[in-house]
Amino acid sequence: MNIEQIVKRAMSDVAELSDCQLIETIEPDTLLLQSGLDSLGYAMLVAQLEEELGIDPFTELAIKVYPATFAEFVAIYTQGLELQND
Amino acid sequence: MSSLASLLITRAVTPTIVTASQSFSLEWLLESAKLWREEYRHLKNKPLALIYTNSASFSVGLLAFDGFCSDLYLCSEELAESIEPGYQQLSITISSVSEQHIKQSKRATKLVQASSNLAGQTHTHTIATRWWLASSGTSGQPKWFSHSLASLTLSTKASPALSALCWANLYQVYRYAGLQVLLQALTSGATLVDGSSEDLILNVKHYATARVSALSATPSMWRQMLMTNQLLSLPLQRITLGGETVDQPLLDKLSELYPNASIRHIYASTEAGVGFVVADKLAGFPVSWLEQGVGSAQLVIDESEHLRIKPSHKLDAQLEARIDEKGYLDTQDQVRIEGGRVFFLGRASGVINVGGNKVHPEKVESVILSVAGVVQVKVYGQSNSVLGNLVVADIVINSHLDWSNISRSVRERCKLALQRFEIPVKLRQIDSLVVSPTGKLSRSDNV
Repeated sequence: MNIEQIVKRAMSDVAELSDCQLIETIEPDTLLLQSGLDSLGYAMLVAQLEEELGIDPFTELAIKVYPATFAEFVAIYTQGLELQND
Repeated sequence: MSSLASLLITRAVTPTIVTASQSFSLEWLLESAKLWREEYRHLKNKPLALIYTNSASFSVGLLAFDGFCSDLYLCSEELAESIEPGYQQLSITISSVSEQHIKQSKRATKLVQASSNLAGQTHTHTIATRWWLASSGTSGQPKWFSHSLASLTLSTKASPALSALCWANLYQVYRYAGLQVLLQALTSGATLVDGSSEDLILNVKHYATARVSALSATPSMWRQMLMTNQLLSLPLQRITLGGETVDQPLLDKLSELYPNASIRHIYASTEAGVGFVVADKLAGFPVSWLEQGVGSAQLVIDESEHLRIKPSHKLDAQLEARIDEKGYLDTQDQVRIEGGRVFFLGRASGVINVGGNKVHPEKVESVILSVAGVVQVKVYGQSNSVLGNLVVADIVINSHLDWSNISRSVRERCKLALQRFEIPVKLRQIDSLVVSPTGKLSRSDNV
């Protein structure tokens, strides 16, 4: 599974646990705050991804841009994993 | 002795509250307050529960009844249920400006004349109203603490620069943090944008249209606003963070976006009615404040590494057990000194702060323990970069039972009995829990 798939699967897991309704199709330019997850859902998503991927890019000082879209969210994890492997 | 109405008149400030379609001048608010006070004149020297509907209406209520009623309980509909049944409850919803036939004026001179009648009344008959604010108690039931207008407005200032600000309030106005924003806007003669919805993107758009230049929110809310990608559409000059521990990455991000804005994080204790402001864009506060004090408050760290505060005003009598012989109140906030700064670590009581919402572990534990098959449970916070903390539960079950069935029942029971932010996001099955000789769960390893 690539990171995008991992994030999408984690989003649907978290939506179920946190009683949120995800929108039908999440596109790269879907705004995170309009994807159906609320702040609690996002907090759970970041916690779950930390368990799965071993990183929480939001605790790093180096975040240049806060992610607003799904693609930006995935990119931050991709970048975080690359940095970790360097 | 001063009431809120006379304080505004004395300061000669002219705050305005604006909604999407209307604008309420101070003159209008004062006139409206006078009508409400006349209608409810039997409430003189009596307690009143004032129920929040919107900022303009709430301000009318505060202007009408501060200095007039003996006690003002600041409530939501829900909080009003915990008030003594015999007390009058009042929910004000002001009608539109056009129906009131009150001429609006922004000129201070006119305002002072127009309001002289009310000011005269407040000066001659003002009584010292106790303002009651709710704090969530250990059982989850609200606990009420009394304050005075003087203590609540101690840190508010008025200046031409402050009166030019346009504030928005993301907090509940009947709570300490939200009331601070309202009082700051009113007493500095600023503009306050009324009305926030659950939808943060809509709020940010609304604030951008209204040219909001001063905003107060929890760190969690600020992180979410950063995620809207629209925060920069606000011409922010003053950024305030409070209600949760503030971390350095967030301060750095905000100061990078708004290099010229004043960025302030506020430490406040609802019970003590004390707040202090850290404005150097660094997390924690300078260790030198333990020697010098800050504002009119003195600070010390006790042997349990709790922050203790001694304000200049008198503390609520209910807090007596937590006040030492020198008059310092144990805030129950655990702190650590590192590199010339004092950092907040969390609540000694184990209370978990989830994005500004307090979760009492004991309440969650009692819900989980009510599920058949659960033997022991410990609920604690796990740090989280989005909301500060999330709730996690370690559970011991009867060894012959099936974990998947029990964990499902626990989730279902929690959904029924708890608010969303109180529900553990993770349930971990463990073999045993450490219990102290007194039979209490050890919380210290998670603080």
